[in-house]
Amino acid sequence: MDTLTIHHTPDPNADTSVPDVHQDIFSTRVLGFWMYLMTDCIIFATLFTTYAVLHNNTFGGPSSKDLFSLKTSFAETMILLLSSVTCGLGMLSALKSRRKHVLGWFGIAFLLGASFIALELHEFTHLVLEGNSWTRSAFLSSFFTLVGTHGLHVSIGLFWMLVVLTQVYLIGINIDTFRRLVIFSLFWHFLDLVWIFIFTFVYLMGVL
Amino acid sequence: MHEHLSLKEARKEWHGTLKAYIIGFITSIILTALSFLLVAAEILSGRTLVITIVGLALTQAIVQLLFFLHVGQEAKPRWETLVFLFMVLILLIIALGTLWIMYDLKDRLMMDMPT
Amino acid sequence: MLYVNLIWAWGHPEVYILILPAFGVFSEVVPTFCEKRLFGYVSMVWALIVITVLSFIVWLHHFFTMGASPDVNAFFAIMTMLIAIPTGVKIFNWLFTKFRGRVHFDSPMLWFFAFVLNFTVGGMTGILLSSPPVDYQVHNSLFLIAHFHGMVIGGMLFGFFCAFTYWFPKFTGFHLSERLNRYAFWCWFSGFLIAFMPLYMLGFMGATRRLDHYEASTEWQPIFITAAIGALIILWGVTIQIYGLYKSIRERKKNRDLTGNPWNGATLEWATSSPPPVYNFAITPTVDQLDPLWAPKAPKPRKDYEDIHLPTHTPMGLYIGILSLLLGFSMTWYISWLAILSFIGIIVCLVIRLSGKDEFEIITAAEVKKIEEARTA
Repeated sequence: MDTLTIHHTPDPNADTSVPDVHQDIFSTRVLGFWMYLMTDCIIFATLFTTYAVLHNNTFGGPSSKDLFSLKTSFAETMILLLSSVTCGLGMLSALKSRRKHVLGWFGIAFLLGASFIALELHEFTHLVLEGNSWTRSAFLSSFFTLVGTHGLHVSIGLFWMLVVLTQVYLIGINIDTFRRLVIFSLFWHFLDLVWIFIFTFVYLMGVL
Repeated sequence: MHEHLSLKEARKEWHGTLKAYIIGFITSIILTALSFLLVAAEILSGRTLVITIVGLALTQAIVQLLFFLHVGQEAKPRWETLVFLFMVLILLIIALGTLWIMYDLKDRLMMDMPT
Repeated sequence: MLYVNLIWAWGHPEVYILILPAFGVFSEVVPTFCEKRLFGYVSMVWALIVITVLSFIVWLHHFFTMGASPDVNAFFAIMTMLIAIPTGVKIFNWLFTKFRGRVHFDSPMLWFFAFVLNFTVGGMTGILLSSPPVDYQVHNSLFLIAHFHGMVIGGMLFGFFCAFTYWFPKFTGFHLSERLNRYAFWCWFSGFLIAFMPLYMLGFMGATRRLDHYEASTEWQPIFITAAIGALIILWGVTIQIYGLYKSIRERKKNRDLTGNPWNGATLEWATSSPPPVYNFAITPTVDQLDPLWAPKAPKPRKDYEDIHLPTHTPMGLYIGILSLLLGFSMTWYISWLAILSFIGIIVCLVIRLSGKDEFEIITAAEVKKIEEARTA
């Protein structure tokens, strides 16, 4: 039997004529990355829930009230927010293929992100050196896992940013580098979104 | 079959505008500052305070979802939005379900010793 | 308990990830071997959606006995009982597909019959288990073990064997020995029943799981021996499967599938050669009914071939997977040097993949024409 096509009398109710807008590489990859990001949301939600269950289990040790500083977390919040915005401004430059502006804005986003990590590492080191590491209590265990996972995501993002910016520096803005910037910026904005919940539920509620 | 998009066509898929980023940025700053202020200056307290800052966090999350991540602004069929809503459903089931179960266990098993 | 709760919040949806593909396989295989289109397609889709949603809100039934209050247990019990309904809809639809059809008992269909019996029995014992008072008696007993083996082996594994025997000619281009497939099937089917039905009895009689010994005074030994014999029969079935695969590969030239559609299937894959060309379809088919190859009018042949763009292959996914395995293994056993090396390896692979220009390979229209015409020659 001939197997080349299956054309025959079309059914008026069949909707086979609408092209799927997601069949090009750009849309497919963006959707694929978005799906990954959604699974990352579930991971963070689980870590938040774990923290919610365990945050009062201090095992006789210090509680969040004793350990968290509003000043540091406010600074971290502002830095990350600014980083997210400069990333967005970088995307606007990418839309216009302004290579130097892209490198400029994303460079600032990188420095801000690196400052965030520096502050967070300082905070963590201080806690660990005082004996309040993740082995101290269930509260600290869940704290370090939640905030540490977020910090790990930011650190990987910084490395990823370097790789993409190197490509932009060497090649400029073409369809591939543009797509990679789009996907990276989704990741970066997402991390700031998660941080909103960290500073609210961990730091703000922690000092109450 | 996979098709190539030109850079020009790909740009049309991107939904960011300067206005959106500025609105998102200013609103986020205001909401963040408000949250920290309410806690630091002890303006509200107790349950009112908790509900307010959670509300502020959810508001800022929606602002960032709309103005930075452009959720809901893609062309039809809106796969990204569908996947996002499904994620929210699963998230609520896992988070609320876990809290219900764990607090129920805590009540029944008298797990109120500090651990 | 937080760990138990979280692991099962994942674990229950996981078993549905195991079984739903098997359901999909049966929805393709049963119509083919009954020469009749699938009964109740729309209700099949709805049943699938309902099962998917419900599968996320039943997980506590894995730990009914761990101290939750009656309200909590009751909610999850009711959700668990509910999920039997759409599952039953699907089973009835497959059976109704058979009704007034013309049933062929090729080996894929044999696996379906075994599935209906074993999965349904396993499912019914699941309904028993979904009642917390009953579960308090048989949780972590061999009754539970018999239940979930019925679901996973009777459901998922038999679905996998069904799929394997059904699509083997398509993806390799030659047939498996049907005779050996049948022998293996009967060994698996009878062996499974002889191995696991006694376990239901033992569970009711008080045998728990993970026993390293039991008292002779329980008089369980004859039953355990029966189960062991069943396991040996299954082992014999596996041996036949492995030998059958080996023999079929050796005799592949004699058993080529030249038609591309040895089972007279209705779906699009059977319109390609066995195995299909690298691009699958020379011209993307347009379809407007569920069983395209059983359409009343034969399609008009199209020869307007165009160039086909295919993405190039990349091994990076495979490499990253292997390196991740090594990373996980070395982190578990504190093998620092391997952990560092595999981590660096992953980063390198990621950067390579992230830097590649998106290459496409192009198969020209002339090449497509050559491949297609060689096939119909």
